[in-house]
Amino acid sequence: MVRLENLTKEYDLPPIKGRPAAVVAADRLNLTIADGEIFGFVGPNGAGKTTTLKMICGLLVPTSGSVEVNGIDVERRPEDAQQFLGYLADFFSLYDDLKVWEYLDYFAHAYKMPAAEIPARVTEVIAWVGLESKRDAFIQGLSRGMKQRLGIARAVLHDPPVLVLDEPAAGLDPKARVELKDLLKNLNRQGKTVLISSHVLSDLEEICTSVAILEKGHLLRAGKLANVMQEAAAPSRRRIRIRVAALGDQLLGWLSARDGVSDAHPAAGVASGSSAVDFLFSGNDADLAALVRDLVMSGAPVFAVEGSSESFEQIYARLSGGEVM
Amino acid sequence: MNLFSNPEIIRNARIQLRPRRMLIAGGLSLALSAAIVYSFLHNADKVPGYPGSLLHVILIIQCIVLVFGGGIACLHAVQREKDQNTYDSQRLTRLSPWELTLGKLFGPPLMADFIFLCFLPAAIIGAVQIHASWTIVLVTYVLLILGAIVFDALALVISLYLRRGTVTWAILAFLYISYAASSPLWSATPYFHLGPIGPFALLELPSQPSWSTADTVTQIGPRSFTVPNPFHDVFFGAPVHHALVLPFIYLTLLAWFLLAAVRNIKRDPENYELYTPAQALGFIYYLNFIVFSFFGWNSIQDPGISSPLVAQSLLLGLNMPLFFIFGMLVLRNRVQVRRRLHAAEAAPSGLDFLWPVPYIFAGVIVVGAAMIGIVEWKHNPALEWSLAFAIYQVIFFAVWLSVDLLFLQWMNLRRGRHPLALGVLALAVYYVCVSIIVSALHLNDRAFTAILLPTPIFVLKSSLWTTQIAEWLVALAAEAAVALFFALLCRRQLAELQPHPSSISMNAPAPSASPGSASPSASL
Repeated sequence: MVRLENLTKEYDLPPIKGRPAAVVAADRLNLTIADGEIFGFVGPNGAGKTTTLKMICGLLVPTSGSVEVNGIDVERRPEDAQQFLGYLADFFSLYDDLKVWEYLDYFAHAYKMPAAEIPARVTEVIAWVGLESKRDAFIQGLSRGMKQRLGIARAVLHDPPVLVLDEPAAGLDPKARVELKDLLKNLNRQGKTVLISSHVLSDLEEICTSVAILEKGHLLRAGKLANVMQEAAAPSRRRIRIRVAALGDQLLGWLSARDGVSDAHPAAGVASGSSAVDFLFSGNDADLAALVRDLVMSGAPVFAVEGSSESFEQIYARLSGGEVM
Repeated sequence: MNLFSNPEIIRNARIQLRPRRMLIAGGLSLALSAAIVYSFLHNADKVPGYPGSLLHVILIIQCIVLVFGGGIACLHAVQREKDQNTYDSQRLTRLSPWELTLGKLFGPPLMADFIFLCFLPAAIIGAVQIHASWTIVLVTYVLLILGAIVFDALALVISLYLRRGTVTWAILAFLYISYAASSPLWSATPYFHLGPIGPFALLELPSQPSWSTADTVTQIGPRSFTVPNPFHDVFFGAPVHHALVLPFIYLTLLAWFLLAAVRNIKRDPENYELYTPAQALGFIYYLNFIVFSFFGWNSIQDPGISSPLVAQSLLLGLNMPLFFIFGMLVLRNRVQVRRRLHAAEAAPSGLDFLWPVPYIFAGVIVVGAAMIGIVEWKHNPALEWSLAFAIYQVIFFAVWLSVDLLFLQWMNLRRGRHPLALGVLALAVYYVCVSIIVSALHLNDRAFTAILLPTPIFVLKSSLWTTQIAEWLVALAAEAAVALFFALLCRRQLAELQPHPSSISMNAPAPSASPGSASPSASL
């Protein structure tokens, strides 16, 4: 279990007249992350994701507040807490002039694994990340995806219960991303807690069990992914698409004039032979049924009525006020 | 975990001592040493006084490789990890700070150590050639290696603070320090009887015929000259061989440098603190113990050499750089102060405004009391000495140091890229300019000048003191007022770092977020 209590980090800003002296990269964050979660930290650049992850690992000292990993205070007993942590930075942290097995062997000894188990574990982890053919290759000759996999291999080498991965998908091609997602799901099946930050919200939506949405150091939302989406989605606003034979200004005008309808506009990407209109509808199912009935009664040839919920990406964009990821 | 199974040393060995690299480095070193040996063996009989001895030349090469090569490798030890983003990964391992420090102390210089070993056969031939005493040669090598380790440890501590772009300057400074520490200039005075502590000073040791500390008398024609023994130290009046003093100094310095490295090597670099204030105080006492132990106390009894007043001024002068080092060790930066204020959740106290004055006073009072005590005990009654004036001198010294360190503390609390470096630079420029003006106007012994520059205190005579006590006390009060002024400036800076609501509200959540769910107490 990872627990953040009033975790705060302030950085100085360059001295420019009229600007505040400090920026709050993490503002009194309170979170409890249960074992076995894949927990995603979401936010634009500068939201405080990396700062928060580094404080969780004990790499950055918070301005105030505390972090506990498996009940151990990271600041007071960093080495004890760090045995439970595997960390992957948001950039490669590799020794180019070591061979793949030498790199893992070094960290295995540095993590004080039993010496007799190290060769087998190194071989096992190399196989797990699919680098068997590169075992004796120098790291400088590896591709970007291979380097990232080696980084993950290093993070899981000592079998830590908590993995902290900062932007692990950054710079990876689509195939490597799919492999990474499989690796993470595999780790989760093994019971690991994974803390991950990413810009790729669709990836996070696919693998995370819980998320925290950060912005300018503030925690906007946190919880189970489904709950966050349910809570954050506007309950009385649904996006509705109505397919009709032909869409005219008259129909758009009629819809826009109805109570509970907003943002009515012609839908894009509709198959030829029909048209469609998208709008946001505030109201319950009976209200929607009444609207469709009135539409049919007014003579509009309605082919289909479809409803859709917001994606995580849309919810994030709305919550963060449209901040660019 | 022993040294040979230290993963950091093994990693360095794997990188630096690959067979191909060893073959090249070993081959070149052996070829060079073979050429030097051949040159010496071939010419020694034919050319009298052929440049020094073979052993001396090989020792110079080994010293350069070990001290300069090893030191530069250690200067890169932490800085390079930061540059290649591997430092955080190392900090997260279960290596203890002690293990990581040892790994970084002995790992990076492995190639230098290997080249050093490659020159050893030539050194043995050189030692045989001049029939050197084996014990002296052995002690020379032990001290050379120990000295190199001390300088490597210093380089490692410096490496903690290096950033991209500062490495070249650090290397130049390190080369200067390690060479200057071997220079006899600073010990060739009647006031101080400690030989140079740099490893290069050991190059002359194998040529010593015995362990005697006596000076040698050389006869050139009808005249005889006394050549001082460079290995003759005086410890509280007792003669002692420099080779006995060096292990003590090396081991104690090593302990201090290792303490600094071990304390910080796994810390967040923003939060480095070389020593706790109490440890820094211990360090200044240790340095003063070395100064007092080898000070020429007998010189204050001989009017031809010195006087108690000159001795006290000299010791205070020596303590100027020492206390500046001490002050720099205990200064707090913005990150540390912000953390303290957040943790205390209270307004800064008087101690925060006046930091580090209490420790300066604690240091100066103990050192000053020891200084005055020994001079009082040893001084010749016939020579000029005033206890009241000596006490005033020490108090003024403490207040003056407080002014400068409060200024540096204020600078260190200001926002900016390198506020402390700017502060040190400003202080240096100020003192150079004021010194020139004061000297040009011949104001060196005036009380009011002491407010601007401490030199009038160091050149003050008893006669001036007794006739102008009121003026000197006013000067002291004025100096204290300047200290208070800087304390008030520090107070203003501290107010900026206090946790107050406005600094948090500037990053208020986006208005679109619903306040209820954005509560910081959200939990899973």
